[in-house]
Amino acid sequence: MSRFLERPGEIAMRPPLAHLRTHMRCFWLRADRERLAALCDLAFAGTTRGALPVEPVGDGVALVWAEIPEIRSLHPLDAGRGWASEVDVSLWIPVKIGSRTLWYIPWLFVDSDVALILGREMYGFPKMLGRFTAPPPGEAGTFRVEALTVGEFGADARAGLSTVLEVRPADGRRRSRVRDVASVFSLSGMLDPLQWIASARTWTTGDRPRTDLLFLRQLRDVEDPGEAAFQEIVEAPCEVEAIHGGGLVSTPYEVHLPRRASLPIADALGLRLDGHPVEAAFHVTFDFLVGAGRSLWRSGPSPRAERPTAAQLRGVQAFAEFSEAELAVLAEEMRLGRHEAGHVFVREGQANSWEGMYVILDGEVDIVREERGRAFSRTAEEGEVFGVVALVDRGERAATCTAASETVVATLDRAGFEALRRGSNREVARKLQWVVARQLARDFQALTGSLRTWLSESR
Amino acid sequence: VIGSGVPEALHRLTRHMTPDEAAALRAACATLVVGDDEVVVRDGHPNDALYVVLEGRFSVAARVDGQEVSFGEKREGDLFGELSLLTSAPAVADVRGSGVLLRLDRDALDALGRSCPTAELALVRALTEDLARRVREADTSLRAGGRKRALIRGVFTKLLGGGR
Repeated sequence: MSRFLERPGEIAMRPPLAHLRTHMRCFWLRADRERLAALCDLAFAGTTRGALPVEPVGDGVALVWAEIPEIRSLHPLDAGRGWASEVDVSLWIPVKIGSRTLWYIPWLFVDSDVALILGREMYGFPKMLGRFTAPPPGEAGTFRVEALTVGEFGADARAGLSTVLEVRPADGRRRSRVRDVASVFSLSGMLDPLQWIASARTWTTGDRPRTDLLFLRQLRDVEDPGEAAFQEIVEAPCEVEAIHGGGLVSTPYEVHLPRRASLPIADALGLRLDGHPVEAAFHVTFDFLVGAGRSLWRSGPSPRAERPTAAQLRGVQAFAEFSEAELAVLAEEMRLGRHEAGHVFVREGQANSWEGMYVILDGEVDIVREERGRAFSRTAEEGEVFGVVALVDRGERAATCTAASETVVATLDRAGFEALRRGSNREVARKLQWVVARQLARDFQALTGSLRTWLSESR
Repeated sequence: VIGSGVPEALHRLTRHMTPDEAAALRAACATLVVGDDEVVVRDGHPNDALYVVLEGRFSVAARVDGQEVSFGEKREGDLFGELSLLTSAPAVADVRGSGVLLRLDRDALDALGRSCPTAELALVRALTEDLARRVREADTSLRAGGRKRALIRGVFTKLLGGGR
C-alpha cells in the first residue's frame, strides 16, 4: 500500500467518527424477499464470483431517516479539525453472512458533498446527494427526498431534481405497536430497539451494543469503464455510545416511491410505488460511533475483459431480431471466452454460479444432466444458448456443461442481464427477455419430449 | 399489483406490472366462455395463444404410445398455451374443460408490445420466471426418484398441470 495523498488542508475525517445527538426515525417495510436476494446477489455473490454469499434475513427493509447535528472524528490527526452536520436517509436490508447478521445499505442520500465524497471513498457508502424535507422531531408530517434523476430514459431526457421518496401520514393505516417493532427486529436477528431505548443509558467501551453495516466499495477502470479497477466488500462497525430518548412513532405512515428510471428503488426491492404501508416505526436520539472498516473481500488483479463484437453476435440465431446497433449494446455487456475441449463451464448443482447465460460462437458444448439421467442430455452447437435457468431464478446449475471441442463463447452474467433489462434501450431489454423466454420454452419442450420417450420406453 | 377491473387470476402474469400495465394486459385479452368439455388446445397442433383460467376446470392430457395419459388440471389463475406463444411450436398436451378463459394471442401480444411495451416486457419476464420454476420443480421430482412410470407422470403433471 502507498500513502493516500491529501491535498493541503483537506479534511480526511478518519474514523472513528462520533455521531452525536443523532435523531433517527426508522420506518419498517415489508419488501419482496426474492428481490432482496437478487439485489444482494448482484452486489456480493456477483462481485466476488460466489466467494462471499450474502442473503437477506427475511423480507424486511428499514427506511432510516437520520439527522445528525454533529459528526466529529476522534482520530488523533483529525480530532482537532472541526465537525459537520449531516442528514442521512437510507434503506437498510438485514442480511446474513453465515450466522452473522449485518445491514446492507443499497441506497443512501446525504445533504453534503463532503459527506458524499468521504463516505464513498472511505467505506463505499453508496451516497447520493439529496434534498430533504421533514417534520421537526416529535411531529408528524411528510418526509421527502429529492434527488437528481431521469424519469424515463431517452436521448432527450434531461436529468432533473425530483421527488424520489416520500413518507406520508396515512390515516387509514394501522398504527405502529410496540410488539410490531419487537417482532420485526427479532425476526431479523436484531436487538429490539425499543428495549434499548427504554434503558436510556450510556455504555462504556467494550459493552456497547454494536451493529455492522455492509457495503460494496468500487472504482471504475479508467480504460474500460465497464470494468472495475478495484472492488472490495467492506464492513463498517457502528457502536451505540448513549441513548438520550425515543419511542414509538404513533402516526401511521406509508411510503411513496415515484417511478424514476435511473433510481428504480421500488422495483429493486419489490415495494409498491404508490402507498407502501409502514409496518412499524420508532424514533431515537442517540450517540453512535462508526469505527474503522474491515475488508471482507478484495479483488485482485485480473486480465482485461474481452468482449464479443457485434459481428460475432450477428451469426447467432437467437439474436436474429437484433439490429446492428442493438447488437452493439448487447456486446458491451457480454464477455468473450475461449476454451479448450474439456473445459467445464458450469457444474450441475453448483450454487452461486454467476456467469449466467452462454452463447456458443464456435464449437460444441455437452450439456449433461447427471441427476435426470443420460436421456436428458444433449450437445449444443454454434449459435445455441445455454445456462438460462440459473440466470432467471439464481438457483443451482441444472446441468454440467463441458466444451466438446475448442469453443468460443459469449457470456452474459446476471449483472449484465440486469443492466440491460433496466437499461435505456427498451428494444434490447425486450428482445433479450424474449431470447431467454424462448430458450426456456425450448428447454421445457425438450424436457417434455424426453419424458414422453422415456414413458413410452417404460411400457 | 392488481388495478381495478383486473382479475386476481391474472396475478401470475402481472406481478412485475404497475396497475396501468396490468390494465393494458387485461384489455389486450379476449374473454372466452368454454362449455361442454370443449378442447381448447390440442396436443401436437399449432396454438398461437396463451390462456389464463378465470373460472372452471380444464384437464391436461397427452397421448403416449396411443394411450391417453392424464396430467392434472388447470384451475383459476393457472396458465396454458404459453410455450406455443413463445416458440410457435405445436402444443405439448390437450387441454379441455368448461369455464371462462382469458385469451392472449400473438397479434394481441404484438399490439400490446406497441401500445404498452413495458407491459409486454413484464409479461414475458413473468412467463420466463414461471417456466424456470416449473423446470426446477420437474428436476426436483426427477432427483427424488421413485417408480419410473409414476415418477414420469408426476414430473409431467408438474410441468403441464397446474402443479396441483
